[in-house]
Amino acid sequence: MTSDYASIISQSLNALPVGICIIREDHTISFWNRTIETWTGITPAEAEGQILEDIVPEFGVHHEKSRLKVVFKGGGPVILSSRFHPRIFPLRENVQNEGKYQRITISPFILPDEGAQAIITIEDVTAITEQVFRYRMMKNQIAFELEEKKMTERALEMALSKLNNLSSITRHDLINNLTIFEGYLSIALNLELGGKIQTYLEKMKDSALAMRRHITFARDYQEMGNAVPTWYHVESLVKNSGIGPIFRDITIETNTGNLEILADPLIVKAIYNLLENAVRHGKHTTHIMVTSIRSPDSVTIVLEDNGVGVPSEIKGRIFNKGFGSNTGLGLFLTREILGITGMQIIETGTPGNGARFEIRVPAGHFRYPEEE
Amino acid sequence: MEISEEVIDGVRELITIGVGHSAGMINELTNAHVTLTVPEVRIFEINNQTTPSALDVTDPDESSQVILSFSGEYTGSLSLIIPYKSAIHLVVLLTGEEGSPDEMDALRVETLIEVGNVIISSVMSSFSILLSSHLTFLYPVYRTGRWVENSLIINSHPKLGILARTKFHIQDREIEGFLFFSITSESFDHMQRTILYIMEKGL
Repeated sequence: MTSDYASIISQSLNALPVGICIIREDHTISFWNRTIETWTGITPAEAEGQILEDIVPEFGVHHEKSRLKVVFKGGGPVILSSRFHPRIFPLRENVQNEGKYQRITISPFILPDEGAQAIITIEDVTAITEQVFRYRMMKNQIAFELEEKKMTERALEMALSKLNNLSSITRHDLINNLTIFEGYLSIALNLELGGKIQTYLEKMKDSALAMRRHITFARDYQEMGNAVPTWYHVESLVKNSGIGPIFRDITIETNTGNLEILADPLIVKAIYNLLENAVRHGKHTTHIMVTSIRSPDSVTIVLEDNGVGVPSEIKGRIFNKGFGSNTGLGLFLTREILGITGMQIIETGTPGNGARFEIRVPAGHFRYPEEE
Repeated sequence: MEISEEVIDGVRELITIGVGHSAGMINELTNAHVTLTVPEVRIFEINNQTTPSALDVTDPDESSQVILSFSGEYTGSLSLIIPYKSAIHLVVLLTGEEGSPDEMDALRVETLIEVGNVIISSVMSSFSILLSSHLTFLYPVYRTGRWVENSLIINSHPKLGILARTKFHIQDREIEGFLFFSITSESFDHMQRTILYIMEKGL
Protein backbone atom coordinates (compact mmCIF):
# COMPACT_ATOMS: atom_id res chain seq x y z
CA MET A 1 0.00 0.00 0.00
CA THR A 2 1.51 3.39 -0.95
CA SER A 3 1.79 5.97 1.82
CA ASP A 4 -0.54 8.32 -0.14
CA TYR A 5 -3.18 5.64 -0.39
CA ALA A 6 -2.75 4.72 3.29
CA SER A 7 -3.16 8.38 4.21
CA ILE A 8 -6.40 8.67 2.24
CA ILE A 9 -7.78 5.53 3.89
CA SER A 10 -6.71 6.76 7.31
CA GLN A 11 -8.31 10.20 6.76
CA SER A 12 -11.52 8.57 5.55
CA LEU A 13 -11.72 6.27 8.55
CA ASN A 14 -11.14 9.26 10.81
CA ALA A 15 -14.10 11.06 9.26
CA LEU A 16 -16.58 8.28 10.04
CA PRO A 17 -19.05 8.67 12.95
CA VAL A 18 -18.23 5.16 14.21
CA GLY A 19 -15.26 4.07 16.22
CA ILE A 20 -12.73 2.09 14.18
CA CYS A 21 -9.78 0.08 15.42
CA ILE A 22 -7.66 -2.25 13.30
CA ILE A 23 -5.61 -5.04 14.86
CA ARG A 24 -3.10 -7.57 13.54
CA GLU A 25 -3.30 -11.30 14.20
CA ASP A 26 -1.09 -10.84 17.30
CA HIS A 27 -3.68 -8.26 18.54
CA THR A 28 -1.35 -5.29 18.06
CA ILE A 29 -3.37 -2.16 17.33
CA SER A 30 -2.40 -0.73 13.92
CA PHE A 31 -5.11 1.94 13.66
CA TRP A 32 -7.24 3.86 16.16
CA ASN A 33 -9.60 6.48 14.71
CA ARG A 34 -10.61 9.90 15.97
CA THR A 35 -14.11 8.85 17.02
CA ILE A 36 -12.77 6.28 19.51
CA GLU A 37 -10.31 8.90 20.72
CA THR A 38 -13.26 11.23 21.42
CA TRP A 39 -15.16 8.56 23.32
CA THR A 40 -12.28 7.00 25.23
CA GLY A 41 -9.90 9.91 25.62
CA ILE A 42 -7.09 7.57 24.41
CA THR A 43 -5.13 9.09 21.52
CA PRO A 44 -3.97 7.12 18.46
CA ALA A 45 -0.40 7.67 19.61
CA GLU A 46 -1.19 6.02 22.94
CA ALA A 47 -3.10 3.09 21.39
CA GLU A 48 -1.30 2.22 18.15
CA GLY A 49 1.46 -0.34 18.60
CA GLN A 50 -0.06 -1.56 21.86
CA ILE A 51 -1.78 -4.92 22.46
CA LEU A 52 -5.57 -4.57 22.23
CA GLU A 53 -6.18 -6.23 25.62
CA ASP A 54 -3.89 -3.68 27.34
CA ILE A 55 -5.89 -0.74 25.99
CA VAL A 56 -9.33 -2.41 26.04
CA PRO A 57 -9.19 -4.84 28.99
CA GLU A 58 -12.65 -6.27 28.19
CA PHE A 59 -11.08 -8.17 25.29
CA GLY A 60 -9.01 -10.08 27.85
CA VAL A 61 -12.20 -11.47 29.41
CA HIS A 62 -12.74 -15.08 28.45
CA HIS A 63 -15.78 -14.89 26.22
CA GLU A 64 -14.76 -11.75 24.33
CA LYS A 65 -11.31 -13.31 23.88
CA SER A 66 -12.75 -16.53 22.43
CA ARG A 67 -14.95 -14.54 20.03
CA LEU A 68 -11.91 -12.64 18.79
CA LYS A 69 -10.17 -15.97 18.24
CA VAL A 70 -13.02 -17.15 15.99
CA VAL A 71 -12.41 -14.19 13.66
CA PHE A 72 -8.81 -15.19 13.03
CA LYS A 73 -9.72 -18.88 12.80
CA GLY A 74 -11.83 -18.29 9.68
CA GLY A 75 -15.21 -18.04 11.42
CA GLY A 76 -16.08 -14.77 9.73
CA PRO A 77 -17.26 -11.54 11.32
CA VAL A 78 -18.29 -11.41 14.96
CA ILE A 79 -20.99 -9.25 16.46
CA LEU A 80 -20.96 -8.23 20.11
CA SER A 81 -24.41 -6.91 20.97
CA SER A 82 -25.06 -4.19 23.52
CA ARG A 83 -27.35 -6.64 25.38
CA PHE A 84 -24.54 -9.03 26.37
CA HIS A 85 -21.62 -6.57 26.22
CA PRO A 86 -23.05 -3.12 27.07
CA ARG A 87 -19.71 -1.35 27.01
CA ILE A 88 -16.44 -2.88 25.88
CA PHE A 89 -14.43 0.22 25.03
CA PRO A 90 -13.72 2.33 28.13
CA LEU A 91 -15.15 5.86 28.19
CA ARG A 92 -13.30 9.00 29.29
CA GLU A 93 -14.31 10.33 32.69
CA ASN A 94 -16.28 13.41 31.70
CA VAL A 95 -18.22 11.73 28.89
CA GLN A 96 -21.93 12.48 28.90
CA ASN A 97 -24.49 10.00 27.61
CA GLU A 98 -22.52 8.94 24.54
CA GLY A 99 -21.08 5.47 24.16
CA LYS A 100 -22.99 4.09 27.14
CA TYR A 101 -24.26 1.23 24.98
CA GLN A 102 -21.97 -0.02 22.22
CA ARG A 103 -22.50 -2.48 19.40
CA ILE A 104 -19.28 -3.96 18.12
CA THR A 105 -18.50 -5.85 14.96
CA ILE A 106 -15.18 -7.51 14.27
CA SER A 107 -14.46 -8.50 10.71
CA PRO A 108 -11.41 -10.23 9.26
CA PHE A 109 -9.55 -9.04 6.17
CA ILE A 110 -6.21 -9.72 4.56
CA LEU A 111 -3.55 -7.13 3.76
CA PRO A 112 -1.19 -8.42 1.05
CA ASP A 113 2.02 -7.55 2.89
CA GLU A 114 0.79 -7.82 6.46
CA GLY A 115 -1.44 -10.89 6.54
CA ALA A 116 -4.66 -11.34 8.51
CA GLN A 117 -6.10 -8.30 10.20
CA ALA A 118 -9.36 -7.56 11.93
CA ILE A 119 -11.30 -4.33 11.77
CA ILE A 120 -13.28 -3.54 14.90
CA THR A 121 -16.14 -1.05 14.49
CA ILE A 122 -17.91 0.45 17.46
CA GLU A 123 -21.37 1.95 17.04
CA ASP A 124 -22.89 4.13 19.74
CA VAL A 125 -26.38 2.66 20.21
CA THR A 126 -27.18 4.51 23.43
CA ALA A 127 -30.09 6.52 22.01
CA ILE A 128 -31.87 3.57 20.39
CA THR A 129 -31.23 1.29 23.36
CA GLU A 130 -32.66 3.79 25.83
CA GLN A 131 -35.60 4.42 23.50
CA VAL A 132 -36.35 0.69 23.37
CA PHE A 133 -36.18 0.53 27.18
CA ARG A 134 -38.63 3.44 27.42
CA TYR A 135 -40.88 1.82 24.83
CA ARG A 136 -40.85 -1.48 26.73
CA MET A 137 -41.62 0.30 29.99
CA MET A 138 -44.50 2.14 28.32
CA LYS A 139 -45.80 -1.11 26.84
CA ASN A 140 -45.61 -2.84 30.21
CA GLN A 141 -47.42 0.08 31.83
CA ILE A 142 -50.19 -0.10 29.20
CA ALA A 143 -50.48 -3.87 29.66
CA PHE A 144 -50.69 -3.38 33.43
CA GLU A 145 -53.34 -0.66 33.09
CA LEU A 146 -55.33 -2.80 30.66
CA GLU A 147 -55.24 -5.69 33.09
CA GLU A 148 -56.38 -3.39 35.89
CA LYS A 149 -59.16 -2.06 33.68
CA LYS A 150 -60.27 -5.60 32.87
CA MET A 151 -60.35 -6.44 36.56
CA THR A 152 -62.39 -3.31 37.30
CA GLU A 153 -64.74 -4.17 34.44
CA ARG A 154 -65.21 -7.68 35.79
CA ALA A 155 -65.92 -6.28 39.27
CA LEU A 156 -68.37 -3.74 37.83
CA GLU A 157 -70.10 -6.41 35.76
CA MET A 158 -70.52 -8.51 38.87
CA ALA A 159 -71.84 -5.55 40.87
CA LEU A 160 -74.21 -4.62 38.04
CA SER A 161 -75.47 -8.17 37.78
CA LYS A 162 -76.14 -8.22 41.54
CA LEU A 163 -77.92 -4.85 41.40
CA ASN A 164 -80.02 -6.01 38.43
CA ASN A 165 -80.97 -9.17 40.25
CA LEU A 166 -81.88 -7.26 43.40
CA SER A 167 -83.84 -4.69 41.41
CA SER A 168 -85.65 -7.38 39.42
CA ILE A 169 -86.62 -9.39 42.52
CA THR A 170 -87.74 -6.24 44.36
CA ARG A 171 -89.84 -5.10 41.38
CA HIS A 172 -91.39 -8.52 41.06
CA ASP A 173 -92.36 -8.61 44.76
CA LEU A 174 -93.66 -5.02 44.61
CA ILE A 175 -95.84 -5.79 41.58
CA ASN A 176 -97.24 -8.90 43.31
CA ASN A 177 -98.17 -6.91 46.41
CA LEU A 178 -99.43 -4.01 44.31
CA THR A 179 -101.69 -6.37 42.37
CA ILE A 180 -103.16 -7.69 45.64
CA PHE A 181 -103.54 -4.11 46.89
CA GLU A 182 -105.29 -3.04 43.65
CA GLY A 183 -107.55 -6.09 43.84
CA TYR A 184 -108.77 -5.24 47.34
CA LEU A 185 -109.04 -1.60 46.29
CA SER A 186 -111.34 -2.53 43.39
CA ILE A 187 -113.50 -4.59 45.74
CA ALA A 188 -113.68 -1.64 48.17
CA LEU A 189 -114.52 0.79 45.33
CA ASN A 190 -117.24 -1.54 44.08
CA LEU A 191 -118.86 -1.41 47.52
CA GLU A 192 -119.66 2.25 46.67
CA LEU A 193 -119.26 3.46 50.20
CA GLY A 194 -119.70 7.06 49.04
CA GLY A 195 -118.65 10.28 50.71
CA LYS A 196 -115.09 11.00 51.71
CA ILE A 197 -114.19 7.29 51.90
CA GLN A 198 -115.09 6.89 48.22
CA THR A 199 -112.92 9.94 47.31
CA TYR A 200 -109.97 8.56 49.33
CA LEU A 201 -110.33 5.18 47.64
CA GLU A 202 -110.29 6.88 44.19
CA LYS A 203 -107.13 8.76 45.17
CA MET A 204 -105.55 5.50 46.40
CA LYS A 205 -106.35 3.93 43.03
CA ASP A 206 -104.63 6.82 41.16
CA SER A 207 -101.68 6.51 43.48
CA ALA A 208 -101.46 2.74 42.89
CA LEU A 209 -101.53 3.35 39.13
CA ALA A 210 -98.70 5.87 39.45
CA MET A 211 -96.73 3.32 41.51
CA ARG A 212 -97.20 0.72 38.76
CA ARG A 213 -95.92 3.23 36.14
CA HIS A 214 -92.89 4.01 38.28
CA ILE A 215 -92.11 0.32 38.59
CA THR A 216 -92.45 -0.11 34.80
CA PHE A 217 -90.17 2.89 34.29
CA ALA A 218 -87.61 1.36 36.65
CA ARG A 219 -87.66 -1.84 34.55
CA ASP A 220 -87.24 0.08 31.28
CA TYR A 221 -84.47 2.25 32.71
CA GLN A 222 -82.62 -0.82 33.96
CA GLU A 223 -82.78 -2.44 30.53
CA MET A 224 -81.35 0.67 28.83
CA GLY A 225 -77.90 0.12 27.39
CA ASN A 226 -77.84 -3.56 28.39
CA ALA A 227 -78.30 -4.74 24.81
CA VAL A 228 -75.94 -4.07 21.92
CA PRO A 229 -77.19 -1.20 19.70
CA THR A 230 -78.51 -2.33 16.32
CA TRP A 231 -79.61 -0.70 13.08
CA TYR A 232 -83.28 0.36 12.77
CA HIS A 233 -85.11 1.42 9.63
CA VAL A 234 -86.79 4.65 10.77
CA GLU A 235 -89.94 4.30 8.63
CA SER A 236 -90.63 0.79 9.95
CA LEU A 237 -89.86 1.96 13.47
CA VAL A 238 -92.48 4.74 13.31
CA LYS A 239 -94.98 2.44 11.62
CA ASN A 240 -94.60 -0.27 14.29
CA SER A 241 -94.65 2.19 17.18
CA GLY A 242 -97.80 4.03 16.08
CA ILE A 243 -100.09 1.07 16.69
CA GLY A 244 -102.82 1.01 19.34
CA PRO A 245 -106.28 2.42 20.15
CA ILE A 246 -104.79 5.83 21.00
CA PHE A 247 -103.71 6.29 17.34
CA ARG A 248 -107.04 5.16 15.85
CA ASP A 249 -108.00 8.63 14.56
CA ILE A 250 -104.46 9.86 13.85
CA THR A 251 -102.74 9.94 10.47
CA ILE A 252 -99.03 9.16 10.82
CA GLU A 253 -97.01 10.01 7.74
CA THR A 254 -93.34 9.10 7.41
CA ASN A 255 -90.99 10.33 4.74
CA THR A 256 -87.50 9.25 5.73
CA GLY A 257 -86.71 6.94 2.83
CA ASN A 258 -84.18 4.23 3.56
CA LEU A 259 -82.70 6.01 6.55
CA GLU A 260 -81.46 3.66 9.25
CA ILE A 261 -80.19 4.63 12.68
CA LEU A 262 -78.04 2.84 15.22
CA ALA A 263 -79.99 2.65 18.46
CA ASP A 264 -80.65 0.79 21.67
CA PRO A 265 -83.47 -1.75 21.28
CA LEU A 266 -85.58 0.48 23.58
CA ILE A 267 -85.81 2.99 20.68
CA VAL A 268 -89.23 1.43 19.97
CA LYS A 269 -90.38 2.72 23.35
CA ALA A 270 -88.80 6.16 22.77
CA ILE A 271 -90.63 6.63 19.45
CA TYR A 272 -93.86 5.35 20.99
CA ASN A 273 -93.47 7.91 23.80
CA LEU A 274 -93.06 10.77 21.29
CA LEU A 275 -96.08 9.66 19.24
CA GLU A 276 -98.18 9.10 22.36
CA ASN A 277 -97.14 12.52 23.69
CA ALA A 278 -98.25 14.14 20.43
CA VAL A 279 -101.71 12.62 20.85
CA ARG A 280 -102.08 12.87 24.63
CA HIS A 281 -100.84 16.47 25.06
CA GLY A 282 -101.72 17.81 21.59
CA LYS A 283 -105.40 17.78 22.60
CA HIS A 284 -106.73 18.01 19.03
CA THR A 285 -103.90 16.26 17.14
CA THR A 286 -105.01 14.51 13.96
CA HIS A 287 -101.77 14.38 11.98
CA ILE A 288 -98.18 13.45 12.81
CA MET A 289 -95.42 13.90 10.24
CA VAL A 290 -91.96 12.31 10.47
CA THR A 291 -89.24 13.57 8.07
CA SER A 292 -85.46 13.79 8.01
CA ILE A 293 -82.94 16.49 7.08
CA ARG A 294 -79.46 15.44 6.02
CA SER A 295 -76.37 17.56 6.63
CA PRO A 296 -72.70 16.66 5.98
CA ASP A 297 -72.01 15.34 9.48
CA SER A 298 -75.44 14.38 10.82
CA VAL A 299 -79.08 13.64 10.13
CA THR A 300 -81.97 15.29 11.92
CA ILE A 301 -85.21 13.36 12.30
CA VAL A 302 -88.15 15.76 12.67
CA LEU A 303 -91.35 14.59 14.32
CA GLU A 304 -94.13 17.24 14.23
CA ASP A 305 -97.85 17.27 14.94
CA ASN A 306 -100.77 19.65 14.47
CA GLY A 307 -101.77 19.75 18.14
CA VAL A 308 -101.60 22.66 20.56
CA GLY A 309 -97.82 22.57 20.84
CA VAL A 310 -95.61 23.02 23.89
CA PRO A 311 -96.15 26.28 25.82
CA SER A 312 -93.04 28.50 25.83
CA GLU A 313 -92.81 28.57 29.63
CA ILE A 314 -92.27 24.81 29.93
CA LYS A 315 -90.14 24.13 26.83
CA GLY A 316 -86.90 24.05 28.84
CA ARG A 317 -88.19 21.53 31.34
CA ILE A 318 -90.11 18.92 29.38
CA PHE A 319 -87.19 16.47 29.32
CA ASN A 320 -86.57 16.72 33.08
CA LYS A 321 -87.31 13.70 35.22
CA GLY A 322 -90.63 14.08 37.02
CA PHE A 323 -91.89 16.94 34.86
CA GLY A 324 -95.25 16.55 33.11
CA SER A 325 -98.90 16.00 33.59
CA ASN A 326 -98.78 12.21 33.32
CA THR A 327 -95.95 10.18 34.90
CA GLY A 328 -93.31 12.71 34.10
CA LEU A 329 -91.01 9.96 32.92
CA GLY A 330 -91.84 9.55 29.21
CA LEU A 331 -89.72 12.31 27.68
CA PHE A 332 -86.97 11.86 30.25
CA LEU A 333 -86.74 8.17 29.33
CA THR A 334 -86.91 9.05 25.62
CA ARG A 335 -83.93 11.39 25.91
CA GLU A 336 -81.95 8.79 27.88
CA ILE A 337 -82.66 6.03 25.32
CA LEU A 338 -81.60 8.28 22.42
CA GLY A 339 -78.51 9.41 24.33
CA ILE A 340 -77.14 5.83 24.53
CA THR A 341 -76.07 6.04 20.89
CA GLY A 342 -75.22 9.74 20.90
CA MET A 343 -78.55 11.11 19.63
CA GLN A 344 -79.80 14.45 20.98
CA ILE A 345 -83.40 15.64 21.14
CA ILE A 346 -84.83 19.17 21.37
CA GLU A 347 -88.30 20.66 20.98
CA THR A 348 -88.52 23.51 18.43
CA GLY A 349 -92.27 23.83 17.75
CA THR A 350 -94.30 27.08 17.86
CA PRO A 351 -96.84 27.13 20.69
CA GLY A 352 -100.33 26.96 19.22
CA ASN A 353 -99.10 25.40 15.97
CA GLY A 354 -98.13 21.95 17.23
CA ALA A 355 -95.09 20.30 18.78
CA ARG A 356 -91.91 19.65 16.79
CA PHE A 357 -89.22 17.34 18.06
CA GLU A 358 -85.81 17.27 16.37
CA ILE A 359 -83.57 14.26 16.93
CA ARG A 360 -79.97 14.81 15.81
CA VAL A 361 -78.21 11.58 14.81
CA PRO A 362 -74.37 11.92 14.68
CA ALA A 363 -72.14 10.68 11.86
CA GLY A 364 -71.48 6.96 11.98
CA HIS A 365 -74.80 6.32 13.67
CA PHE A 366 -76.96 6.65 10.55
CA ARG A 367 -76.80 5.13 7.08
CA TYR A 368 -78.67 4.86 3.81
CA PRO A 369 -78.28 1.21 2.72
CA GLU A 370 -78.97 1.86 -0.97
CA GLU A 371 -75.90 4.12 -1.09
CA GLU A 372 -73.52 1.45 0.25
CA MET B 1 -27.01 -36.49 -7.23
CA GLU B 2 -25.07 -39.19 -5.41
CA ILE B 3 -23.38 -38.15 -2.19
CA SER B 4 -21.44 -40.77 -0.30
CA GLU B 5 -22.22 -41.58 3.32
CA GLU B 6 -18.65 -40.60 4.26
CA VAL B 7 -19.20 -37.08 2.97
CA ILE B 8 -22.55 -36.76 4.75
CA ASP B 9 -20.88 -38.04 7.95
CA GLY B 10 -18.03 -35.58 7.51
CA VAL B 11 -20.39 -32.64 7.01
CA ARG B 12 -22.52 -33.77 9.97
CA GLU B 13 -19.42 -34.00 12.16
CA LEU B 14 -18.16 -30.56 11.18
CA ILE B 15 -21.58 -29.00 11.88
CA THR B 16 -21.87 -30.87 15.18
CA ILE B 17 -18.40 -29.73 16.28
CA GLY B 18 -19.21 -26.12 15.37
CA VAL B 19 -22.63 -26.18 17.02
CA GLY B 20 -21.22 -27.87 20.12
CA HIS B 21 -18.52 -25.24 20.39
CA SER B 22 -21.08 -22.47 20.00
CA ALA B 23 -23.24 -23.94 22.81
CA GLY B 24 -20.29 -23.51 25.18
CA MET B 25 -19.86 -19.90 24.06
CA ILE B 26 -23.58 -19.15 24.46
CA ASN B 27 -23.48 -20.64 27.97
CA GLU B 28 -20.62 -18.33 28.91
CA LEU B 29 -22.27 -15.37 27.27
CA THR B 30 -25.71 -15.73 28.79
CA ASN B 31 -25.18 -17.68 31.99
CA ALA B 32 -28.12 -19.81 30.86
CA HIS B 33 -27.68 -23.55 30.54
CA VAL B 34 -28.06 -24.14 26.83
CA THR B 35 -27.69 -27.44 25.03
CA LEU B 36 -27.63 -27.51 21.26
CA THR B 37 -28.21 -30.65 19.28
CA VAL B 38 -28.22 -31.42 15.57
CA PRO B 39 -30.45 -34.47 15.17
CA GLU B 40 -30.45 -34.48 11.38
CA VAL B 41 -28.30 -33.28 8.49
CA ARG B 42 -29.47 -33.51 4.89
CA ILE B 43 -27.74 -32.57 1.66
CA PHE B 44 -29.78 -31.91 -1.45
CA GLU B 45 -29.82 -30.00 -4.70
CA ILE B 46 -31.70 -26.70 -4.71
CA ASN B 47 -34.10 -26.55 -7.62
CA ASN B 48 -37.69 -25.58 -8.29
CA GLN B 49 -38.92 -28.69 -6.49
CA THR B 50 -37.05 -27.75 -3.33
CA THR B 51 -39.97 -26.81 -1.15
CA PRO B 52 -40.08 -26.81 2.64
CA SER B 53 -42.64 -29.62 2.61
CA ALA B 54 -40.39 -31.70 0.36
CA LEU B 55 -37.57 -31.07 2.82
CA ASP B 56 -39.86 -31.87 5.74
CA VAL B 57 -39.04 -28.60 7.53
CA THR B 58 -41.30 -25.89 8.88
CA ASP B 59 -41.88 -22.84 6.74
CA PRO B 60 -43.82 -20.39 8.87
CA ASP B 61 -45.00 -17.15 7.24
CA GLU B 62 -42.76 -15.30 9.65
CA SER B 63 -39.34 -16.60 10.50
CA SER B 64 -36.28 -14.86 11.90
CA GLN B 65 -33.16 -15.41 9.84
CA VAL B 66 -29.55 -14.55 10.58
CA ILE B 67 -27.55 -14.88 7.39
CA LEU B 68 -23.82 -14.80 6.75
CA SER B 69 -22.74 -14.63 3.11
CA PHE B 70 -19.22 -15.60 2.04
CA SER B 71 -17.15 -16.07 -1.10
CA GLY B 72 -13.78 -17.52 -2.03
CA GLU B 73 -13.01 -21.24 -2.07
CA TYR B 74 -16.62 -21.67 -1.00
CA THR B 75 -19.29 -19.29 -2.16
CA GLY B 76 -22.73 -19.14 -0.61
CA SER B 77 -24.35 -18.40 2.70
CA LEU B 78 -25.02 -19.97 6.07
CA SER B 79 -28.24 -19.07 7.85
CA LEU B 80 -29.86 -19.77 11.17
CA ILE B 81 -33.62 -19.90 10.65
CA ILE B 82 -36.07 -19.96 13.56
CA PRO B 83 -39.86 -19.40 13.49
CA TYR B 84 -40.54 -15.79 14.55
CA LYS B 85 -42.38 -16.56 17.82
CA SER B 86 -39.80 -19.19 18.78
CA ALA B 87 -37.02 -16.67 18.09
CA ILE B 88 -38.61 -14.22 20.55
CA HIS B 89 -38.88 -17.00 23.15
CA LEU B 90 -35.26 -17.93 22.56
CA VAL B 91 -34.04 -14.36 23.11
CA VAL B 92 -36.22 -13.94 26.19
CA LEU B 93 -34.93 -17.20 27.69
CA LEU B 94 -31.32 -16.32 26.93
CA THR B 95 -31.54 -12.80 28.35
CA GLY B 96 -33.72 -13.74 31.32
CA GLU B 97 -36.22 -10.99 30.51
CA GLU B 98 -39.43 -11.02 32.49
CA GLY B 99 -42.91 -11.28 31.03
CA SER B 100 -43.84 -12.78 27.70
CA PRO B 101 -43.04 -10.25 24.98
CA ASP B 102 -44.82 -10.61 21.67
CA GLU B 103 -42.51 -8.69 19.37
CA MET B 104 -38.92 -8.60 18.22
CA ASP B 105 -37.82 -5.06 19.04
CA ALA B 106 -34.47 -3.57 17.98
CA LEU B 107 -32.63 -4.85 21.06
CA ARG B 108 -33.97 -8.38 20.67
CA VAL B 109 -32.98 -8.36 16.99
CA GLU B 110 -29.46 -7.32 17.96
CA THR B 111 -29.33 -10.07 20.59
CA LEU B 112 -30.57 -12.71 18.14
CA ILE B 113 -27.99 -11.59 15.58
CA GLU B 114 -25.25 -12.12 18.15
CA VAL B 115 -26.55 -15.56 19.16
CA GLY B 116 -26.98 -16.54 15.51
CA ASN B 117 -23.55 -15.16 14.76
CA VAL B 118 -21.96 -17.25 17.54
CA ILE B 119 -23.46 -20.43 16.06
CA ILE B 120 -22.74 -19.53 12.42
CA SER B 121 -19.17 -18.37 13.14
CA SER B 122 -18.44 -21.52 15.10
CA VAL B 123 -19.72 -23.71 12.27
CA MET B 124 -17.78 -21.67 9.69
CA SER B 125 -14.70 -21.92 11.89
CA SER B 126 -15.18 -25.67 12.06
CA PHE B 127 -15.41 -25.89 8.26
CA SER B 128 -12.30 -23.72 7.84
CA ILE B 129 -10.09 -26.83 8.28
CA LEU B 130 -11.20 -27.75 4.77
CA LEU B 131 -9.87 -24.50 3.35
CA SER B 132 -6.47 -23.54 2.07
CA SER B 133 -7.23 -19.80 1.98
CA HIS B 134 -9.34 -17.27 3.82
CA LEU B 135 -12.90 -16.58 2.73
CA THR B 136 -14.30 -13.12 2.26
CA PHE B 137 -17.34 -12.42 4.42
CA LEU B 138 -20.15 -9.92 4.42
CA TYR B 139 -21.56 -8.73 7.75
CA PRO B 140 -24.28 -10.98 9.16
CA VAL B 141 -27.76 -9.65 8.42
CA TYR B 142 -31.18 -10.18 9.95
CA ARG B 143 -34.24 -10.86 7.81
CA THR B 144 -37.83 -11.81 8.50
CA GLY B 145 -40.52 -13.40 6.35
CA ARG B 146 -40.59 -16.74 4.58
CA TRP B 147 -37.06 -18.09 4.36
CA VAL B 148 -37.67 -19.85 1.02
CA GLU B 149 -38.41 -16.43 -0.48
CA ASN B 150 -35.22 -14.84 0.80
CA SER B 151 -32.96 -14.19 -2.14
CA LEU B 152 -29.90 -14.19 0.11
CA ILE B 153 -30.61 -17.81 0.99
CA ILE B 154 -32.17 -19.17 -2.17
CA ASN B 155 -31.69 -17.89 -5.69
CA SER B 156 -32.28 -19.15 -9.19
CA HIS B 157 -28.78 -20.56 -9.72
CA PRO B 158 -28.49 -24.31 -9.27
CA LYS B 159 -26.95 -24.80 -5.89
CA LEU B 160 -26.56 -27.25 -3.15
CA GLY B 161 -28.23 -27.10 0.23
CA ILE B 162 -27.12 -28.56 3.52
CA LEU B 163 -29.89 -28.49 6.06
CA ALA B 164 -29.13 -29.18 9.72
CA ARG B 165 -32.10 -29.37 12.06
CA THR B 166 -31.01 -27.62 15.27
CA LYS B 167 -32.60 -27.87 18.70
CA PHE B 168 -31.98 -25.48 21.59
CA HIS B 169 -32.70 -26.85 25.06
CA ILE B 170 -32.98 -24.07 27.64
CA GLN B 171 -34.71 -24.29 31.03
CA ASP B 172 -36.87 -27.30 30.13
CA ARG B 173 -37.90 -25.65 26.90
CA GLU B 174 -37.03 -26.89 23.45
CA ILE B 175 -36.81 -24.47 20.55
CA GLU B 176 -36.31 -25.85 17.09
CA GLY B 177 -34.83 -24.13 14.08
CA PHE B 178 -32.32 -25.10 11.46
CA LEU B 179 -29.01 -24.15 9.96
CA PHE B 180 -29.04 -23.88 6.21
CA PHE B 181 -25.90 -23.90 4.07
CA SER B 182 -26.51 -22.73 0.54
CA ILE B 183 -23.42 -23.15 -1.63
CA THR B 184 -22.53 -23.42 -5.28
CA SER B 185 -22.07 -26.85 -6.84
CA GLU B 186 -18.38 -26.08 -7.40
CA SER B 187 -18.00 -25.23 -3.72
CA PHE B 188 -19.62 -28.49 -2.71
CA ASP B 189 -17.48 -30.52 -5.13
CA HIS B 190 -14.42 -28.94 -3.56
CA MET B 191 -15.78 -29.56 -0.04
CA GLN B 192 -16.52 -33.18 -0.92
CA ARG B 193 -13.05 -33.80 -2.31
CA THR B 194 -11.38 -32.24 0.73
CA ILE B 195 -13.48 -34.25 3.18
CA LEU B 196 -12.64 -37.49 1.38
CA TYR B 197 -8.97 -36.52 1.24
CA ILE B 198 -8.83 -35.75 4.97
CA MET B 199 -10.63 -39.00 5.76
CA GLU B 200 -8.10 -40.93 3.75
CA LYS B 201 -4.91 -39.11 4.70
CA GLY B 202 -5.80 -37.47 7.99
CA LEU B 203 -5.36 -33.81 8.85
